[in-house]
Amino acid sequence: MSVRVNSPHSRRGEPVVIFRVGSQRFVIASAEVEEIRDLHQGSVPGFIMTRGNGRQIPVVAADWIFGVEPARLEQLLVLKLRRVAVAIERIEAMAELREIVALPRGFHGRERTWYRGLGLLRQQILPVVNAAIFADSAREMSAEPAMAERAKANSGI
Amino acid sequence: MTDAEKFVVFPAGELNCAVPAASVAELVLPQEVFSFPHTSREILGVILRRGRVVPLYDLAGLLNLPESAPAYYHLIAVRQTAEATELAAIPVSGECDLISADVLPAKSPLPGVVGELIWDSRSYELLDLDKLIAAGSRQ
Repeated sequence: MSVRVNSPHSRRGEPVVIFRVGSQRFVIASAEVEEIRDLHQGSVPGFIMTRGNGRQIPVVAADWIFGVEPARLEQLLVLKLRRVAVAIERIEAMAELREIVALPRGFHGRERTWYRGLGLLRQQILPVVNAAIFADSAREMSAEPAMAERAKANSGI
Repeated sequence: MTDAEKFVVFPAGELNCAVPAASVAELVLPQEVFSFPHTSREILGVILRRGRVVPLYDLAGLLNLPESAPAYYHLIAVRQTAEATELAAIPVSGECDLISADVLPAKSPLPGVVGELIWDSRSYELLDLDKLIAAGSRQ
């Protein structure tokens, strides 16, 4: 299954996609997502996906990027403009985020680049991912020979 | 007596601790802790308090205690960093008191332990949360 994502801004807030990776939930702006696809053949980071238009783009695994426990990756977020897709466990919901607050300054590690901030949604706090990190991760992977070999071996999925 | 001479004392596991009362914004029942992936090991997660997102610090880890005790309260303190003023929460594992006492030199070598208080025949480590957290973030 493949779903195109339309994300017009409403007056109420920023449209977002809530997705799960293992025990963690994240938010990404709908405006960053071009398409949501099912992933039929399991997932490994670094493979090349052939798009309908013949273009190939790298796929990065969200569990690898965020250093969480390996997850059962079943869906892909194909990102607009970033030339990358992200393997995730599953989409949980679409929502509108009324407020994004800055990450508290006490956070000083890689999370400062991972997240645009923290979203407040129905008394829950969810990290709002910075989509640029997925493209950065794809570049890092392609620079690693082992990853590049893995990409070749899995091309055409 | 001024606020600067008052302290909030509380247990952190087996250790008795104190912070200046002037730095304490609130003492609240344990709030829901929201966690998400991050690499700042001294932070357990964040809590939502009065619409503000407040990081919850691992006090046991910062003090090199063997294990964390269950939180009875969350103590929310005001941190003055070089860049800004920010709230910080720490778990407190028992009842708290507001006391006044003289500050003695610190016996503990831990950065962030800046003195010792004696109250009700007990010794309390006086914490400077800014220094403690700053030291934890450098580890």
